[in-house]
Amino acid sequence: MTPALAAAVALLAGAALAAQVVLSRLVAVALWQPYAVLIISLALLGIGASGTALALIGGRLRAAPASVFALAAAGFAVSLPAAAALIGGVGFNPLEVIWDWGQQLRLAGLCVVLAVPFACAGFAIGLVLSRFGARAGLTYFADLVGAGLGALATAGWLATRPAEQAVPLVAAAGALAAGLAVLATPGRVRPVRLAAAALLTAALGLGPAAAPVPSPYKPEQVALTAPGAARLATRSSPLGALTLIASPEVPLRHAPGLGLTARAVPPPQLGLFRDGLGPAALPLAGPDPAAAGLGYLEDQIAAVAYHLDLPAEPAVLVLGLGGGVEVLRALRLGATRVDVLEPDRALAALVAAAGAHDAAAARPLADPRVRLIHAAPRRAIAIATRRWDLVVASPETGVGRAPAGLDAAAATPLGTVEAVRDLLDRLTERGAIVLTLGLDTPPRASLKAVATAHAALAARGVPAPADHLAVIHGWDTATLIVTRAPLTAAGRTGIARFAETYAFDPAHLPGASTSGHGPINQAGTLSLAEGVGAVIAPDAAADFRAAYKFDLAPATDDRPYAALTATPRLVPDLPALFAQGGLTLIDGGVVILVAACVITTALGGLAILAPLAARRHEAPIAPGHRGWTIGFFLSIGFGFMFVEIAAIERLAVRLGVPLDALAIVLGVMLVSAGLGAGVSRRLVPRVGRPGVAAAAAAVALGLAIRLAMPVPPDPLIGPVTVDPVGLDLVGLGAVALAMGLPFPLAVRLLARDAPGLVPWAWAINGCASVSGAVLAALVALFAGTVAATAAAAGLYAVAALVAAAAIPPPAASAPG
Amino acid sequence: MIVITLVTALVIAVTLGGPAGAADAPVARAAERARMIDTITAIAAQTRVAGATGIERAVLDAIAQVPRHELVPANVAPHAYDDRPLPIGYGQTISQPYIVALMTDLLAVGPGDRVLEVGTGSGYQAAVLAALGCTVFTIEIVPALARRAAGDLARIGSQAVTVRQGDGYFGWPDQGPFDAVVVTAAASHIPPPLVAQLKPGGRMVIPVGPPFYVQHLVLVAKAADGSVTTRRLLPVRFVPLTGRR
Repeated sequence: MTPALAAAVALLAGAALAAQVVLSRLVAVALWQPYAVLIISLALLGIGASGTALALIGGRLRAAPASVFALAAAGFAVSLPAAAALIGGVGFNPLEVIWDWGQQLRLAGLCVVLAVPFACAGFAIGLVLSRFGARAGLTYFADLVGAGLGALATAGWLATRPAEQAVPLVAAAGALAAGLAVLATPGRVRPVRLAAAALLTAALGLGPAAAPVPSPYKPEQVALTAPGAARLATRSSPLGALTLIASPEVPLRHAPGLGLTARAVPPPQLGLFRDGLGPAALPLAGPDPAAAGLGYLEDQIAAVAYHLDLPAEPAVLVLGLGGGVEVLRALRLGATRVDVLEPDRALAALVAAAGAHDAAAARPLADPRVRLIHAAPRRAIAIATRRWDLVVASPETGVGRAPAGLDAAAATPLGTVEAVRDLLDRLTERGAIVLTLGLDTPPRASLKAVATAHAALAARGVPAPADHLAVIHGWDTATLIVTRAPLTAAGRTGIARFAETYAFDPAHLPGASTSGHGPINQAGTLSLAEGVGAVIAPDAAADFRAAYKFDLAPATDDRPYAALTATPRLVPDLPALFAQGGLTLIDGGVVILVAACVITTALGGLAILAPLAARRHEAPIAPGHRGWTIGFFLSIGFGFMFVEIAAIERLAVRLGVPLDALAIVLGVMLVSAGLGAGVSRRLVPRVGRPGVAAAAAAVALGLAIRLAMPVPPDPLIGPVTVDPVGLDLVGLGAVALAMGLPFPLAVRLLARDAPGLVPWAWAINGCASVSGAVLAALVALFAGTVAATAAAAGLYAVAALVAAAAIPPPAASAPG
Repeated sequence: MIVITLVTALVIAVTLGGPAGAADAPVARAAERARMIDTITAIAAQTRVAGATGIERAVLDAIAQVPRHELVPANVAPHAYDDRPLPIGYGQTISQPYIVALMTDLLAVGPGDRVLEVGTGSGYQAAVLAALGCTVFTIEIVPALARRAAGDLARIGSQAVTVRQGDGYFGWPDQGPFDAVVVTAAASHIPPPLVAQLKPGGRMVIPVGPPFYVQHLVLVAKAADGSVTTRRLLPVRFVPLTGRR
């Protein structure tokens, strides 16, 4: 294999990974994030299918690997822009999938189209792997390092630029890979022909970068149907595409949690949307927080924070900027200092610049009392030296939550027991955390939040956590108050009076009965008061949680999903809910993830079995090697993805920005594993059963050590400050170095003893990587990242056992 | 044979696919409407929302009178009587028939009542209320939807419905107070002007959920003394929650 071909492999692998991330973003913008997981997972099966195709027809093509590579890479370059352009253009409406079976055909068609570029890339790289099996370490090195660098470059691009603008560049990288492969073609290539081919490919690949067509049912698109509504500004950020919308003729008036007795009407607002979801409101009430138009801020349920027993001029920490409403509320209600923790610089810039678009826009960041903190939220809190009287978060401090629990699978770094405990540590003695969230029916995420706060108080050694908690609710929102010290009589009175004034119901107030009078806001099933009472009852909470239909276990850093409440106990209800169109009552994102797991596993299984079925009438290729090949490559394929997904989820909690976590983990893991693959030939010059088994066993051991050495939650401050994130990544890189060994060693062995099975091994690895990623995500959701890592260790141990027990000695195997 | 096939296809297309003429509106697809009523009745009997054992007969009769297929775009008209929501353009949907029946039932209105609807959409909910004998005032943000609904409602003979294009947030003070209010547009809160325009003893219904799905219904009741209470209702069967009840 020439250096030019190795470079082409690296470039194409980087482009394929970039395509994966970019297309995921485009689907998320056009549709919803969970559907991006589903659609891109299915599309990635193209890589597995390419292995199947190689196993079936690759033999004839292996004679000219560089030429075929060039053609396949050119196919990637041409098909990627076409596939990207079709997202949102095929009329697929995921919201109708339950109702309209025809939508499933559109979904299948979209997945097939999106699979083409991945199939092209997979075919090209798989062909090189099978043709140069003896140099598998070099091919795998190029593949992984290229992919790792591609992940870092893509994340860097998406931090500031729209995803659609990356499509031509990624396609061009594919075209360049094709050009490099042409250079690697033996014999003389006529320069004119080469130039023409490169130009044609580049011209096709570098088509216009069309923005994806968003679903007309996304809130931003619905807002734009109002007469005169228009986008004022857009910005890209690692957390998604932000837009600022004005609707002068039919003004936006967004005020979740407004009391039933409120007399003040919210003023017209600008709307902030992220990936078409939202809005977060930016009031058009002028720069003064005391303006009459902002009177409604005092009538919303989140305003209860300012009726607690606090200093007259509290210091406030706002968790998330949103449109600045919570900042304005704090300023209006007397805060002497307001810190805003917002990791998204693009959002802050958009809010700060809103006044340039509309002079009436409020200016929450212009007040000298306000300080904006751009940092990873957990780190910022861990190292904070300030103390706050109030920490507040509400639906208005975020932008773009998906409807119907679709975002249940999203990590919530500040919604875990550990995070709440850290926040309590940063409060003044009379301080409180005040969290407002949407009220669900039946109650679940709200009860889970109460359980999490209760567990955090218990973790701090509070003897009676219930005395530190209060909950009030309206018809669509609930507010949870968590105090560092037991709620004082003045605090309880303040909460009760506020609730009475604005027609909210106390669901839990220490020392007060919540059933003294009829509730103003009744729940149809279990009342929030009943639920909260059961969740915090000292002697019966465990039984209640165990029997409840939804998962109410506190969110932890290991399972940081505050909105995730689905449990297997819901399964008996699914048919009836499906028939009645009530599936949205459970976590929609999880349902989609389960569907993705089932479909990718089924299709992946077919792709793996297809070569065997197609050749059932022929003499089997290396029958002694089939068993261990499927067992070994499935195990390491799944194992690799379990480590990867667990590490991404773990880092996402620390950083608060999932895209950054993805880029860093992929960068560290793939480059490290690539380096491992690159030195595999030197480490193990003569490949055989012991080497393959030992490599897999080494990974299992490394993962076991990683599990046994938990990373400290806070920075280790000493002569040198050690960041736990950096420490974690060093450990991950070390394990990943070993993870780069098993695949190339096993491929080299196959290339020597059963070369006809190398493409099949590529197909198995490709399919396992896809369904493994989805399955790993489910394991992380329901069992935690530690369990996912432990499962990975187990899978590598299985791979080691399979290799040790089932790889036949060289003499016993027939060359394929 | 070919001619017969073409004629048959044409008849099917006219019956199922395109808007029927005003003359045949009352009878067209009556059998499908009857089946739809049966479905609504069956779901309501299973679900028992707010303790009710079913939908009031008057509501079902009103639904049976309204040619739903006349109020949806031609491309979805074949599915007009399926128990499912349908897209009507502009990011809007026409609700599942069972949900329309349930909402109408919860409003507890009858002949002579004045009803305000915020979010006209297809005009179907307004037509059902009109068929109950109510006088309906309905407001739609999207001009094209407002025009289309006004035209369709006039064509099917829903004379008691007045459609206005504009901002529904402030209600329709000139025509208030109302015996009932339906808010089918997405609402982050209950607009104070709508509460103010609700008569004492009046009811307001708000469906909550993403397009194509209703997660729950919020029933707002204004007592004789002007105080307001809310009740969240699940439109689907989902019991028991703890497995021990």
